[in-house]
Amino acid sequence: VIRVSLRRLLILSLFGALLGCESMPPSLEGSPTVHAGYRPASDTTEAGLWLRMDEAEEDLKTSGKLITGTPANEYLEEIICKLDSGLCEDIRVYLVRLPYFNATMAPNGFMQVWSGLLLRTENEAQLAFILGHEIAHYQHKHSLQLFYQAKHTANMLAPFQVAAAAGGVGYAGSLAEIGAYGMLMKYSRDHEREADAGGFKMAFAAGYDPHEAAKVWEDLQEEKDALDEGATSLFLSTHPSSSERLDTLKQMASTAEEPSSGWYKGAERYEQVIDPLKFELFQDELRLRQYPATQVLLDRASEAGERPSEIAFFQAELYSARAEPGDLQKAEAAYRQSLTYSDAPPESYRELAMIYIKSGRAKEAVPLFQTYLSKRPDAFDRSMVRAYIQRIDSGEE
Amino acid sequence: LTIDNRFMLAVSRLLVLAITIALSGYAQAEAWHKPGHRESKETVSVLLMPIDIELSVLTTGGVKEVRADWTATAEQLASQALRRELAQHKDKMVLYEEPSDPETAHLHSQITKLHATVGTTMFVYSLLPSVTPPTAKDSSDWSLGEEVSSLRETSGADYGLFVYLRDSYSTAGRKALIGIGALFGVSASAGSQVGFATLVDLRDGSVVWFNTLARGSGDLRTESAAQETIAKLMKDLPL
Repeated sequence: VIRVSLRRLLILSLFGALLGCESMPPSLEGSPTVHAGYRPASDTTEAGLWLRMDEAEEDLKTSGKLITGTPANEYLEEIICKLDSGLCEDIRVYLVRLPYFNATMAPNGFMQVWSGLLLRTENEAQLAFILGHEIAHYQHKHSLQLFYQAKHTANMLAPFQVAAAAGGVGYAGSLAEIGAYGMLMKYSRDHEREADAGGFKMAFAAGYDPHEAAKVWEDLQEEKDALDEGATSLFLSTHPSSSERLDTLKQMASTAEEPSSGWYKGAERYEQVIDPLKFELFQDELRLRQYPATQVLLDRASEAGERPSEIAFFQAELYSARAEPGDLQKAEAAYRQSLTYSDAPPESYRELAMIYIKSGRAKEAVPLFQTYLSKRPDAFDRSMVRAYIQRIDSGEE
Repeated sequence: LTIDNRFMLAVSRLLVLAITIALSGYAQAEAWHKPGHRESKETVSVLLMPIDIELSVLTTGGVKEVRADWTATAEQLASQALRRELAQHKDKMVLYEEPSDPETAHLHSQITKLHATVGTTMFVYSLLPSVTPPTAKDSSDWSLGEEVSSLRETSGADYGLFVYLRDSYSTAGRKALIGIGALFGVSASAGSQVGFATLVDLRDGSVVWFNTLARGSGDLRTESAAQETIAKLMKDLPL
């Protein structure tokens, strides 16, 4: 017994000495700010982080996941420059084809905006508050601070882990872990608060309607509620205490004084730029198979008066993919609904034809397939559609 | 989200490498020669590709922190050492120049990345036969693919020499942790030098020679140490 406790004492005192070996992360009190054209000195931790991120940026550029050359790309750049951070020249923004609500900022100044975000923001003001939030992350070097903190946490825990492996500390080690990771989480939440405030300030100064800042989060909450359980949004899971955030943003908006020229929402401009992308965005969204959330988005688009033919088409696609009892009938009705509009997506004809085949009305499918082919002569699946027609004509279907 | 996931991925990849070395007991494997490949009697030309290199610090907690300044210095020193090493051979050395055409430049950078991936696989298989899939045992047809012929077109060289180096150094805190751990029979990974060099036939992309380096010593931050490292890596280069 005595031997064990002596051993324990020895381990504890040895690693106590070790804790002093590597000092605390450099204090970044008073929120550092990055000036235009900033580059870290080459012998710093930050320079190492930038080197890695330069590589990550190159990887992203060649990933094949980027949406490039669309008016939306220019639009994002334009909004970033409207926000007066002085960093517009230094920030590179990439539109990534990923159907989730998310935006990220790397320490070397490259920003990712995921395409799923554009399906969820409703106007330029909402987008501006989010872009401002990301710029504030860069401005205050949050990645670097988090890296320091993570390193510090790992350093602090390492002796406990060695001691635990040697049978030295028992539950004290686990407590240390919980405490350390809790600290890391808090650190990250503080960054979110600072980024919210910074983004708000920038977008507000640029004349954007401050009430739109909270609106994005309310909308997301609605989606989350529709999904009943758990946050499937990456952004929500890494951006905790959303009710606190909501309250803060609302409070900031309520004290803001409206300029005589009125607030700017930019709903028309937003629609003009983003609308051409919507079809692809909804297609990607459906692949996530989170139908209750997609339904919220469709309802919202419908309320906003977006193209009814497309909304009906995607409503049909949702039923067709969900395939619960009764969904096939609902899908048929929705495809038909879509076809009542002159600008219906030609795919409605094809999908309706497929439903006819499934429900034993193959003969009626032929003219629909033919209309599809005449409207989309270069369709990627034209050979398959022709094969269907042949099989039906020869009585095989 | 502020830190890119790729960053953590890169860290974990390097950790795996470090563990690999620890498992291998720092065994220095013999260089691999493609069976049947004969050293040419005539003078050939060799294209020296830019070195894929990264130096980092291993902190107490095991977090690897890239050092941009060391990496820049080491890249220079290792390239110099490599040029000096190749100058001793009878063959003609061609230095890589990035083509002005962006598409070709992109292809070349993709080839360098592919080398890192193929080389890492060869490296792990050569050190750990137990994880080598049966189909890959005694493989003699390692290749970077026919697209490397683009390098032949732009440089006129017969062979390409690719070098990949990752070097890490324990902080004082990490060394102390390792020391204390060792007292109680707990092992923790230390700073290490890992790397590989590959000679590729630029006509068809096949790997004709491959050598590895995996050790707990070595340095790339001084001229003499970089020379020693490169000499080890270039041992038995069939030129």
